[in-house]
Amino acid sequence: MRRRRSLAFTLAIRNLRRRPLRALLTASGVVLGVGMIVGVLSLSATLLSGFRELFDVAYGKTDLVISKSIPNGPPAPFDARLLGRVTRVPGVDAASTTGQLLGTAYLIDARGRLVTSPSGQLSVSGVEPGKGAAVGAYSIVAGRDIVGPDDFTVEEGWARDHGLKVGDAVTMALPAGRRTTRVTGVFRFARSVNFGDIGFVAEPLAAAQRDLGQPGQVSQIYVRALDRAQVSELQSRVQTALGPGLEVRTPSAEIANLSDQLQGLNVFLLFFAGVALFVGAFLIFNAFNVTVIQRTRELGMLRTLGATRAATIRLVLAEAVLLGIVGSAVGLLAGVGLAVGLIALMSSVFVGVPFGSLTIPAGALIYGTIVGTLVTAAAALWPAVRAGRTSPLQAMRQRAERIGGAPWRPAVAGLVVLAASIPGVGIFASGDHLSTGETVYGVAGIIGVFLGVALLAPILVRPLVRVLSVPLRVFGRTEGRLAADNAARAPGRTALTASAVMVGLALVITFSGFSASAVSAVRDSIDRSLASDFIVVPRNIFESQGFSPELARQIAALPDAGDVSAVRFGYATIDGKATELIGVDPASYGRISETRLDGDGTPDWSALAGPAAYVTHNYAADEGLGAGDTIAIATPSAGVDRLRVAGVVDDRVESQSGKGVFVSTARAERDAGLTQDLRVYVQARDPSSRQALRAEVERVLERFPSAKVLSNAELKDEIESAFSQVFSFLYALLGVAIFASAFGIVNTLAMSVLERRREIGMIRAVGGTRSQVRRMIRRESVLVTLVGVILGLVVGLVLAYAFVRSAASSFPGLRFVMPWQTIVIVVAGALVVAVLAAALPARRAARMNVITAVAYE
Amino acid sequence: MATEPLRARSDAQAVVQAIGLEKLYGEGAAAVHALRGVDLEIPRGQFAAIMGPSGSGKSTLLHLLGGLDTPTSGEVRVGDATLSRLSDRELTLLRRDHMGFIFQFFNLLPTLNAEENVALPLMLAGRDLGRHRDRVVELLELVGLGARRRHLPQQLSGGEQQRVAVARALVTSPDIVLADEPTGNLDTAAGDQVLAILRRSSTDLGQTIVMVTHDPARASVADRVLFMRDGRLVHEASGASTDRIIDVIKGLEVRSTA
Repeated sequence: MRRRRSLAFTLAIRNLRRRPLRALLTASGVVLGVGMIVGVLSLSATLLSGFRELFDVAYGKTDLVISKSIPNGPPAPFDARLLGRVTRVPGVDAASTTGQLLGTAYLIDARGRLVTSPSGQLSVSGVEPGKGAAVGAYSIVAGRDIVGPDDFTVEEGWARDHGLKVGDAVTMALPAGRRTTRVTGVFRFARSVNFGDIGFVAEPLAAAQRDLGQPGQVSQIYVRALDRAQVSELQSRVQTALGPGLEVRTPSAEIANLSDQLQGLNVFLLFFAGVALFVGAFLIFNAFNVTVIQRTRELGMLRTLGATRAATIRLVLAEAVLLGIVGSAVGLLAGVGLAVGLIALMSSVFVGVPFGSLTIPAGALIYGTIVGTLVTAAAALWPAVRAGRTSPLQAMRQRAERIGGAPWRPAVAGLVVLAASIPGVGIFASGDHLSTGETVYGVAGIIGVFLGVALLAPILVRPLVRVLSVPLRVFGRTEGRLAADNAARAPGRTALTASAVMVGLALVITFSGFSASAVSAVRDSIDRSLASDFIVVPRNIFESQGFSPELARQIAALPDAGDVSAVRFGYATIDGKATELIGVDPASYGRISETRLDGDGTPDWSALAGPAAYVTHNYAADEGLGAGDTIAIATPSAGVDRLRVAGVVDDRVESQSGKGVFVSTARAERDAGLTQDLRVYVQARDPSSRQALRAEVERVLERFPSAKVLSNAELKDEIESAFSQVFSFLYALLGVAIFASAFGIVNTLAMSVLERRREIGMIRAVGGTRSQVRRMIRRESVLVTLVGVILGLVVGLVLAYAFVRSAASSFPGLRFVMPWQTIVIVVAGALVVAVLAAALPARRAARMNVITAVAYE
Repeated sequence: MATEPLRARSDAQAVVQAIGLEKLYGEGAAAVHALRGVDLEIPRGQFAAIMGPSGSGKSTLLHLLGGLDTPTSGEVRVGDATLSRLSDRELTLLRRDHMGFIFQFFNLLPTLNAEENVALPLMLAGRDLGRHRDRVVELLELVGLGARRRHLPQQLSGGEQQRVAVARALVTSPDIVLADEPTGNLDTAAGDQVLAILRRSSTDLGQTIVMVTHDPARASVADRVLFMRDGRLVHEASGASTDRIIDVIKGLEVRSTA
C-alpha cells in the first residue's frame, strides 16, 4: 500500500515535470479560481477592517449612536433640538453627549478652481466645541482642537498632501457657497484608515450648520452612559423618549449591521470567484481527459505489469492533487496581487470608501487551498475513472479514433438541471429581500443554468459548427472544411471549451443587457417626464447633499429664466415606516414636469399647497393606498401631520426607490427638516434664450461651486457614464474568468494538435503547406470560440431579459434593451482572443516533423 | 497553386535521382549513420522495391526521396528540381502536385469519407472538385471501392483504408508514388489486393513506384529490387522471384558474417 502510493506520486511528479507547459496550462484554471477566492475574500476583509477602524475613529468612545432611520445611504440630518430631549433621559452623561453634523465639500485651489479629484473632496464634521474628544478617537498634533467659533481642523495626512499648516487659509465649495477659513489645528486619527485621498476636516457645529445649509440640524447624536454596564436599558429609554423615526443603536450593532451588508457583497464577489473556479474546473477536466487518452498505451502497459484499476485511478488523481496543490499555492500569491488591484480599482470607482491596511484572512488562504485542490481532484475524477477502465490490451493496439455520435445522456441531464435551475433564477431575479435560502437557490440556479447549457452543449456543437463554418467554407475551402470537421468531431471537448467561453461572456452580456436597459429606461423617463431645459444638480450627481435654496432664488431672478422649480429629497416616517419624501414646489413643479397620473391624466401639483400628497405607483401598491386615503407623517417636533392622498403618480424621475411620497417643499422642510434643494429645474424664458440662460446660470454657480448645470442630454450621458463606471468593476472581475477561458482555448487546441500529430503530418506529406496547417488550427479556434460566443449570447440575453422583466415591477418604464454595443465588442474581442489563443498551437502544428508524425506510431 | 509540370520527360530519363546521399541522426557518440552514401536512379515507369533488415536505412532513403527529410550531404533530384534548393513551401507543393505517398499506417483523415480522402491533395491545391470528380470515382473503382465512396474510414477495414490511401496517392497522376511498408499492417489477403493494385497501376498506367518492404514475396512483384544494409545499397536484382530474393538475402547475411 505504502509503496504503491509512493509510486503513484513518483510517476505523477515525473509526468508533470516531463510536460511543464501542459502542467502550467492545466494549473492555470486552479490558479485563477483560487486567486479570485483569495482576492475577493481579502478585498472584503480589508473593507471590513477599514469600516471597523472608521467606526473606532468616529465613535470609539460612545455608548449609543442616534440617527434618522432610513433604508440606506449616508446619515440624514434631523432636528438638533432632540439633543436636549436625549440629555434629559436619566442615565445619560449629558456633559459627554453631543451631536454632529456631517457633510461634504470641495476644495478650491489657489487659482480659485474647484478640485474635483478625490483629494479635493472633503468630509466635513460639525462638532460641538470642546466635545469632539468625547466621541472620536483622534489626537491633535498641531494647533488646537475645536474650541472657539472660528476654529477649523484638518486631518494630518491630507494637510501634508496639500502643504497645509496651522494658520494657512483653506477655501471650500459648500452647499451655502464659497467660504475661506484658516486652519487652527491638525489632528491625527487613532487608526490608520485609508479613504483614498479624500480629506477630513472639522469645524464648530454652528459653522457647519451654516456652511452645509442645515440650520438647527445634526446628522447623528452620540450618547455616553453614566453607567456603561447599563447601556441596553439606557438604549430602550432613549428610544422611548425619541419615538419612531430615529434609531438608537450601539456602535457594535452598527458594525454588525455593516458587516452584514458586506456579507452580501461577499456573496456577490464569491459568485465571481465561483465562476472563475468553474471555468478553471472545465479546463482541468479537459486537460486530464486528453492526457488520459494520450497515455492510453502507457496506462495499458502499467495494467499489463499488474497495476490494478484502483491503482491506475490513484495514479491520475495523484497527479491532479499535486497539480491542485501547486496551482493553489500559486493562486494564493495571485490572489494577494488581485486583492491589491481590486482595492485600487474599487477605491477609484467608489470614492471615499474606507480601506484598512491590506488584510488577508487566514481563512481565505485555507479555503483557497482546500477548494483549489478539491476542485482539481474532482475535475480529474472522471478522467481518472476512465484511465482505470483502460484494458491491458490497449497497450498493444494502436488507437483508432472513432467519430462518435453526440452524447445524449448528458444532454438529458442538462435539461433536468436547466429545469431545476430556472425557478431559482426567477426567485433571484424577483426580489430585493431574499432569505439566505432563496439567495443560495438563486445563485445555485444561475450556476445551474450554466451547467445545464454546458451539458446540452455537446449536442449543439455539430449543428452550430455546421452553420458557423459556412463562411469559412466559402472563403477558406479545404482548411475551413477541415477545421469545421475537427471542431465537430469531438463534440464533448469542443463543448467544454465553448462552455468555458460561454460562462464569462454570458455574465458580461447579462450585466450589460441589464445596464443598457436601465440606462435606456432612465433616458426615456427623462425625455418623457422633464419639460425643463436645464437641471442643476450636485457636482456628484448621486450625492444626497444638496445646496442652499438661495441658488434657486438667484436663478429665478435671471433675465432669461422662465419657470424654475426646486425639488428636495429626504426621508420621513410615514405611517410608521421610513419612507422617501420628495418636496416639490406646488406652484411651479407642474410647469416643468410632465409626469402623469397613474392610468392617465395630469396631476394637479398645486393641490400640494394644502394638506395633500401624491404617492408613487409602487408606494401606493405596497401600502394599499388610493386617492382620498390619508397618510400620517411623524414629525420630530410638531406631532403628526395628516395628509390626504391627492392621487397616484407614475413618477419615473424623482423617486430613487420607486416608493416615494410627494409633498410641498414647505411641508418637507417643516415635517422632515429638508432644508436643501437637490435638483433645480430651469426653463428658458423662450427657446431662443437657452444659450444666454445657460451662461447666466453658470455665473450664478460660480458662487455655488458644489453644484453644476446640465442639459437634459448631458444629464442622460452623466447617468449612463455613472452606470458604466460601476459596471467596469464587474467587468474587471469577469475579466479573470474570461482570461481563464482563453487559457482553455489554448489548452484545447494544444491538445488537439498533439492528438492529431499523425493527421497533421499526413496533410503536410500529401501537400498541405505550413500556412494551410496554421490556418486550419486558427479556424478551428475561431469556430470553437464562436460556439461559446453563441451559447454565451443566448444564455446572457435570456438571463438579462429575466432580470429586467422582474425588476420592471419595481421600476416602471424598465424595458429590455439589446446591448448591441457590448455584443459587437464581445464578438470582436472573442475573435481576437481565438486567433491569439491559436498562435502557439498553430505554430507547433506547422513546425511538426512530418516523418515522425506520419511514419511511426 | 499548381507547380509547373516536370520537364524533359523522356522515358530514358530518371524521374528520381539520388547522388551520394548521406544521413546522420544525432551528434557525437550518439550519432547514427542511417545512410552512408547512396546513389540511385529510378527511371520513368519502373516499379522498384527497396529491401533490407530493420535499421538498414530503407525508410530514411524513401523519406529523402520524397523530400520529407533533408540529407546530411548529397542530392535528390526529382525531374528538374534539386530538392535541397527548394524552400519548405516549394517542397510541399512539389509533393502535392508530383508525388504520391502511401504509409504503413493508413493515415486517412477520420472526418472525411473515402471520396474526400482521395481528393484531399486536390482540395489542398484549391482545385474545383466537381471537375475532378470523375477521376476520383475512377480511382476508387480501380481500387475496388466504387461502392463504398461515402464511407468514413472507421467504417472500412484496414485493407480498404489502405486502398483508399493508394487511390489518394494516384489522384494527382504523380510522377512518382512512394510507398513505405504499404502492406506492413495488413493481413495477407488485404496485402495481396493492395499490391496487385500497385502492380496494375505500374503496368497499365506506367506509374513510377518506389516501395519499401521487408517481405520478399511483396518485393518479388516489383520490376527491380534494391537491397540495403547498414545505410548502403549492396545489391540489386531485376524481375526476381521470391525464392531468388530470399537467396540474395541469405547471401548477404553470409557475406556480412564472414
